Amino acid sequence: MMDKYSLPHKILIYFSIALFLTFMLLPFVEMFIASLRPLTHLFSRPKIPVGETMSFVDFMSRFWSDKMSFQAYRDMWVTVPHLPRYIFNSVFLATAVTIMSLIFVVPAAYAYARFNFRGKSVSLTLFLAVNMFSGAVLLIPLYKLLRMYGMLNTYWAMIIPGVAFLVPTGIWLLKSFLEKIPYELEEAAFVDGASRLYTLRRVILPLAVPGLVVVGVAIFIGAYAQQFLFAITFNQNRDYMPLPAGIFEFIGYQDVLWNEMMAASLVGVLPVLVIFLFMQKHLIAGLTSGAVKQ
Amino acid sequence: MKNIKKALFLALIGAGFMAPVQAAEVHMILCGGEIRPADQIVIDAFEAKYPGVTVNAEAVPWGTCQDKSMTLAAAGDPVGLAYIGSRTLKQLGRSGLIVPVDISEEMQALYQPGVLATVSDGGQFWGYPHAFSTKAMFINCGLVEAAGEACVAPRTWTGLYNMAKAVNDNTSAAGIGITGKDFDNTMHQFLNYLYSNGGTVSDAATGEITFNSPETIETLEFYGKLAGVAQEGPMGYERSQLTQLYNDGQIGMYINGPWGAGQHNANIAEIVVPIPAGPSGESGTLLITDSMAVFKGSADEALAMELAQMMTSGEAQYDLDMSWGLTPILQYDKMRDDVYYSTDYWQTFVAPIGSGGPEPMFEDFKALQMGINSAIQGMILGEGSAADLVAEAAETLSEGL
Repeated sequence: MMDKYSLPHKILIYFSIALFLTFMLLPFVEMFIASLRPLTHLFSRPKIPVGETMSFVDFMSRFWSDKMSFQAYRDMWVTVPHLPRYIFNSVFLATAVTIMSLIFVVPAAYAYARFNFRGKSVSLTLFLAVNMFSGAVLLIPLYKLLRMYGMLNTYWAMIIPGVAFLVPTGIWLLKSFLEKIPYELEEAAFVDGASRLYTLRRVILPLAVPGLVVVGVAIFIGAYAQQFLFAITFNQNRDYMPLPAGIFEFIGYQDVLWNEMMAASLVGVLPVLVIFLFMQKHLIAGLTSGAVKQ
Repeated sequence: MKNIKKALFLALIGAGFMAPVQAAEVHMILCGGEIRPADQIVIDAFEAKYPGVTVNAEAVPWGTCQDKSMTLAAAGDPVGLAYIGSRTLKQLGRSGLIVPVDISEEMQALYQPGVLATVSDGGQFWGYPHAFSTKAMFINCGLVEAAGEACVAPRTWTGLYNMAKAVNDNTSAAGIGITGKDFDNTMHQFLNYLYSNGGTVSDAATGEITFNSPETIETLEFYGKLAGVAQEGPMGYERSQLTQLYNDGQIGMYINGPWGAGQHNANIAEIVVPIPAGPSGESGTLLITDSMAVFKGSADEALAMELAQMMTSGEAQYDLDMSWGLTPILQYDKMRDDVYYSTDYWQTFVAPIGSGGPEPMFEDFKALQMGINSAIQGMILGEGSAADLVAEAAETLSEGL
């Protein structure tokens, strides 16, 4: 058995995991603490007189103070009344982008995985090249394009560029996954008289579910992250704004309500977190499948 | 094949014709996330005066407001008018994105002294000043008295330092809050001290950099001295964070604008005093404005200009100054009997206008901020003598002019 570790091994493993998680999760801990603190305590540090060292209590008070409360989680809905709408829009936009992208990605990835045609490798390279450009570089041409088609200030203004930027990544991810599904399975279906599309639908896709989940999740995360730039440039209608843009309403002329902003950010990622918890099993299966020949 | 090409060509031409044929519309960007009722009245009046013309007023949250109008201008779809910081006007004007505006002589006479200097470049005005601020020192009397001092306005830098030192030595709070973060208000705070010591950044007439002067060196040295009685780690703070420290009783005093009283906790007994005078000057303040700029190539520049004039004068402007808690941008006392700033509190912000200095206009305003901020940060960190740091900053400034 390979899973018997000696004690030093275990210590090393858990230490590495802890170290890694600390780096990953510390910003979230900081966000959470900031969301609990009243604004007046946000930037306070206890004064240490010259020549004295900091006591443990002083040190801990940098993280914890007795005035902490969940008040910000109540106030934020009043400060930014549109907040529920922003959270809904974020999830809606990311979901729409994911579904639309998958509609394009699945047939395209299948074609790249199974057929040989002229310009195959060139176009694949081009797809990679698209990923080298960030949305910011193409913002102005995209704006002109969307204006020409009258799509500014609609959901489409955020969905279409989102799909365009994420389809190439999706094709690359899914193509390598589909290539690992044995061709013999398809041949068996052809012998029985199945058509290409029927095979794709009834043979390949059911086998590719773990891969589809990975691609779907990757696209969803990408779509969630890129909303901000498109939203603030292509949309001026508050009803369509996603959360990353809506968060800016916590910034005032002279003040920034940091604690409420942090609270809203944390609440805003909750729906995504829940989706991930449900998808976790598929996600891990998808990432490791095809790693070894069974 | 030929037919396909032809069809494609026709489709392209068609798309060209579909491109915007807009009715007369003035697109206006307002910062702050809401259109105030007073603005709406102006918009309605404007639309009534010009039937067929519509105003598309877009309220954009502060965080993204200025970038938005720049992106639209760069995309060839400029807004008619937009609210932007006056310090960006020179760059926008020189790069041909905005047009110079007309301000009637009558209006010019109504502006507070020094306000128009914040929008002038090359003998022309590049925007209608729309929001104005001056600064003063807020002092927490509870802390000062706990330190055994009388809570009276310090008139000089020596008095200010002694008061801050007393608070720092005798209470759990730091003496004074100062900024050092890479923010515009770090530069702003320093300029308040500089203008109260007879210093200047550039010559108003010739545009020559005058930053490298004995007055500036003296001011920077004083700033370094203040850092010794200030909150721990000034490099991590900008002004809005100082407001929170002040509310928490962690600092004895700091500089803020007239909106400060509204931000402070009601249980703090405070006095508001003019910036104390340095050894080489008289008490002064920094004059900062934001403006309504008219963008080049928008549907109708003349219409946009008229709307801007209506937005920045009369009732709409008065309402903005009053509701945002700003220093009055116009001399409203010449226009009406009752003004919101007749109290002593307001006079602390209105009286120093005449002796104040403008936020300097630089084509590369980021270089201005960077130059001055690195001198301040260098001083706080003890990276060099004040004279060297000022000389270095002056060099950066001359590159950004």
